Amino acid sequence: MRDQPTSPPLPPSPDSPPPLRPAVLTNTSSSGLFATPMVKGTGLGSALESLLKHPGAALYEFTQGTRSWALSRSLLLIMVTGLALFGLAAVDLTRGIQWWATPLKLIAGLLLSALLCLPSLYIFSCLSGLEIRFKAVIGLLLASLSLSSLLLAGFTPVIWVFSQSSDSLTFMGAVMILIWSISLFFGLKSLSNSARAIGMKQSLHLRLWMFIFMVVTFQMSCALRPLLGSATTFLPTQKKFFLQHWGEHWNVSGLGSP
Amino acid sequence: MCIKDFYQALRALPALCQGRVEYLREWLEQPTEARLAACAVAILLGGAAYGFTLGLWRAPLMGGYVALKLPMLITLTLLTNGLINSLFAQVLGSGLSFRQTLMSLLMSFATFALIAGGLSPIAMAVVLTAPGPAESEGATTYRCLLLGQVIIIVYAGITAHRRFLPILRAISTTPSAASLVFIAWLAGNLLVGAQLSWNLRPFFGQPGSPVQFLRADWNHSSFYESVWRNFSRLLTK
Repeated sequence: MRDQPTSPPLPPSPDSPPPLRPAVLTNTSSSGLFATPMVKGTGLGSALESLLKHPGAALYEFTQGTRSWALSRSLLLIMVTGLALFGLAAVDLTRGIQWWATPLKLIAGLLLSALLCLPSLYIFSCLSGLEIRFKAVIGLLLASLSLSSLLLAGFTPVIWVFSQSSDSLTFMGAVMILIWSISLFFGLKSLSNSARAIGMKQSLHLRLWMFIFMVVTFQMSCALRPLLGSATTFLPTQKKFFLQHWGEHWNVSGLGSP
Repeated sequence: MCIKDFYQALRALPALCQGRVEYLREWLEQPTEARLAACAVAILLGGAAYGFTLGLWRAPLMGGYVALKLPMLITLTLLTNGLINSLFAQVLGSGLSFRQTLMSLLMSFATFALIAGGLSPIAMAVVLTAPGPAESEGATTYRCLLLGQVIIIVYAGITAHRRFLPILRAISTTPSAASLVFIAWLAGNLLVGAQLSWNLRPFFGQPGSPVQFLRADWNHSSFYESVWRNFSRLLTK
């Protein structure tokens, strides 16, 4: 019966004054989140429902609940599946290693970006006035990235139609960047809503972090290229900034010339 | 110093970033050895982590040098200004003792180090995926990285200091005394910090220049002379 909601944790004893108390859900109504335990457990179905309909439930589990690891497993599975589906739809399956390399690179790239940005997310959350534990920050980031991945999975038919309709890698790249940005926007918006619900006082620092995270994912896509088209090597042989890479493709395609 | 107290002080470091006035006021009123040590550890580790990413693009050895030099720069600035900052704090009526002044500045620099240290994994990833100094885009990359790192340092510095002002106000006898002390400290730290960073060059390491801990002419000029010379040259052109 581990999935049953439990009572809130007891306050710390006076002898051990942990300076960081668990985040308290204070502002749930203004942020549109209703923090309640996940009554149906933390399985895949409940995690999906929580992401789409009741984001407050995941927030509760990560900040005050006791089933954060079980929920994290479900969210991780959603994230990996969503990214794999998106990657498979984006590539031409007849182009060598790309049918497995692109989904793998998308999953590894997003996980690596999240790992790189996690310390700064914790610091920036503190700067935003959040009294939150590191473990809860991991959970909230995972929830937001799972939502993004779920949306990417929802875009799978769209991206497949485009990938079958056009041979232009530049055009496909632009479509992928657009879809990626939209999905990430909604994921990060849920993170912002969660932060507001647990007492964020200044949103500037968190917004800045979101911008940095977006840039990191773009640079990661460049570092792990090619994600589209054919490839002779798994990883690129030349290092580039993502803007330089995009600019070169834009010029080669002729879309940039009058 | 008890290990348990030190561990608790380390766990409390995020409170510096949160700017929890009621909690940090206690730190200033009771600047225990454990709290001083926790701030020093934050400066050492955060500064070293970020310093490493500053020099890494030029060469890993340069990264190692800067990992040593950045905490050294903060420490030297604190030591150089320690006496005058404490005197200012008392003359301007804040009521802070020498130990409390040191604690205040340590807390402020520790916040800076935590922010910069938190961003160091991202900075390192960018450096590792950017074109190297020997590649054709090396000069452009150098300028981009330099700009990015300066933005991070300025952001971390401003955020750390701004976060600390309410805490200083809470402990000072009057709010105006807190503001005056804050401005005096900031001006003093900028004045000395700029010169010390000039002496401790190179930090970024220009493409083509040798990898070295200090320049051979480290004590042949001052930061302000250099600014003045550049300014004069600009006017005479």
